[in-house]
Amino acid sequence: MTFVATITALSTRFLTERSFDLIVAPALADFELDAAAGLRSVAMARCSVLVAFVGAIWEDAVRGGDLATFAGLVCIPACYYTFFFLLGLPEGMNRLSSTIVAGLVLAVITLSLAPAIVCFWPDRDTRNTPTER
Amino acid sequence: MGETRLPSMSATESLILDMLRRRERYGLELVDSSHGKLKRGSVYVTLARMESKGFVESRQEERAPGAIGLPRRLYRATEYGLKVHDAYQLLREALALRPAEAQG
Repeated sequence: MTFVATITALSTRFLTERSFDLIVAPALADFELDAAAGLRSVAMARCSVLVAFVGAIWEDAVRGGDLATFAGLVCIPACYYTFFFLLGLPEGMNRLSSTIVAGLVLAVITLSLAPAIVCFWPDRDTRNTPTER
Repeated sequence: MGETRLPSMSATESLILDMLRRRERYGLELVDSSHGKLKRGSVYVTLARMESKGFVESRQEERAPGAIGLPRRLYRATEYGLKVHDAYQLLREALALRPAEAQG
């Protein structure tokens, strides 16, 4: 799978068509132009596309006013798992090593964030895949 | 009674409108002629935001049949965008005055 096809597939899954057309597609067009002309390093050109992709995700989240919903979806399981872990530690967190505490924090973040991310973005409209290079 | 919401314009948006005043340009052209003030990764995010605000319009470039790759986008400033830009320019100049200068 080429870089362009990968970014397009990710955009199809996570971005609105408007954000793809206005932000990611022009960045990909520049990337192809650079690749054809050999003007810039491939890594730099790819980095620019990735920045545009992250910016498009941010734009979708902010414009849709969905950040609060997403934060709420993350907070509910985060509170649940934190309470769950604290109940399992009758002597409190003080006796635990920092590694275990870090592991528990990581577990809470992963368990809360992952389902919210999966549920948050519905399937987007399918669009034509650009020409493979 | 609803209050009219004033349009906001950042310094980057103002710079882009300055560059688009004379003719339409590609995003990459804007980056190249900004002398490092615009970044390639973020310029399209800014342009998309400006399009939502009505400051710029864009269209896909016309391409020869059989051309390979994605078409680029051409951007041009709208009358509204230039009007807001000029108003902000006046405001910035007025606010940059010291009290003595303002008294004339």
